[in-house]
Amino acid sequence: MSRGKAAKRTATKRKTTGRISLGKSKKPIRKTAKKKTSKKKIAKRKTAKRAAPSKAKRKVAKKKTAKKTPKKPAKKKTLKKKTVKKKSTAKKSSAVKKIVSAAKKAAKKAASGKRPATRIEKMIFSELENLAGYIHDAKQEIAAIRPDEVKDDFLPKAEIELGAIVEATAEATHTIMDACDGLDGLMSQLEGDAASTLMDATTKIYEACTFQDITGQRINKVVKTLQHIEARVDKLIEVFEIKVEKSSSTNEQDSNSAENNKISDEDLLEGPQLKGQGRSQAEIDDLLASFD
Amino acid sequence: MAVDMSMKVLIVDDYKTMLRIMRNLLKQLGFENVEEAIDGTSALEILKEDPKFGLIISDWNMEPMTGIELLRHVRSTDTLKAIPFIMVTAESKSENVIAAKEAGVSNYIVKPFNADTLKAKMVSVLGDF
Repeated sequence: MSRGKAAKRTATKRKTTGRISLGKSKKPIRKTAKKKTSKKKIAKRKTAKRAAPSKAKRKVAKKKTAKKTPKKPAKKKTLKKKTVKKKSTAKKSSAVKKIVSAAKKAAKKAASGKRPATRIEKMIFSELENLAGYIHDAKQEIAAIRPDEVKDDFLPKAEIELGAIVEATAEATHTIMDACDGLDGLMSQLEGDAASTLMDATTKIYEACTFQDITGQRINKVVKTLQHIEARVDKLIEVFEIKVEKSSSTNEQDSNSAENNKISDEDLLEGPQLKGQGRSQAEIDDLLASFD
Repeated sequence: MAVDMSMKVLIVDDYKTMLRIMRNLLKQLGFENVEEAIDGTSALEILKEDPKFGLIISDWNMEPMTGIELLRHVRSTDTLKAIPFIMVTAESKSENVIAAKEAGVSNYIVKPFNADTLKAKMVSVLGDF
């Protein structure tokens, strides 16, 4: 070995350890002073060594975790397109649709158990449940009203009765005016005050008879209102898809005919009959006579 | 100018009792030449056949042609536009009166009315009688 290489070796050795080993050279051995490390520092190094796993242990731990978690594929960088927001004309309906679709998605996720429902989602669910319950109750209540009976029975009866009122008042008015015509005929036979008094009286009667025109118009308004109600009832039945059970009403009628003897006082309160439906005075007299 | 008491008067109403009442009242006032129509359409037919009527007294609420439609037809027909037209109706809102006035009504009576009111309105339109 050359001198240069040996010198280099000793120089590096000196740097690292501070010692010069006895080698083939005859130079005196120089000892560098050791740095005195405190006991505290020694204790600290020992505890740090105990806490920190060795390099080998760390490598093994890394390999284990690498096996468990698969590496995610690197995300491909794509250019994001800038979309121009279009103004929605039907704001309300689109907002409602968003809420409904978000609620549906959230419901699916919550049902699948992947994640628990948030507070807002729970609120939406409960509101939707309440709404569904309300609609169900409304349908039941409307069905309980028996809209078929209202439409097929009550409203037509009401219209017929009102028509009968107009007819009856018109008849009465004509009868009154026939009487007045008779009085007008007498006027030509009277003179002076008597004639003018009679004329005033018949004029007042004619004026009073205009009530029939007013009542007729009012009744017509009521009839139109009833027809409007009938149309609304039809619409309700259609919208709520209420199944009208007509069989139950016929069952009631059958049971009534079967138990004919049991007529309550309420059943007897029908009011005036329409033309051709009630008994005339002569027929009632005959009926009463039949009891004797 | 004196009112011709023999002039023809056309009364239009869909209520027969009202037509009878009107006829009797007009008779008491001295007008006996009275013709009747039950709605605006038949009234217009009568007028087109013979336009020489001195007065038209019409209800408003009739079908198929209402009183105001009849009035508009009368005012837009050369042979009929000069005939005085009195509306006798239960329609009492301001809008009705304004609409009738704009259509060319001569006077407006609200039902129920009395013979004095009828006479007063007829005088305002025809002159004293």
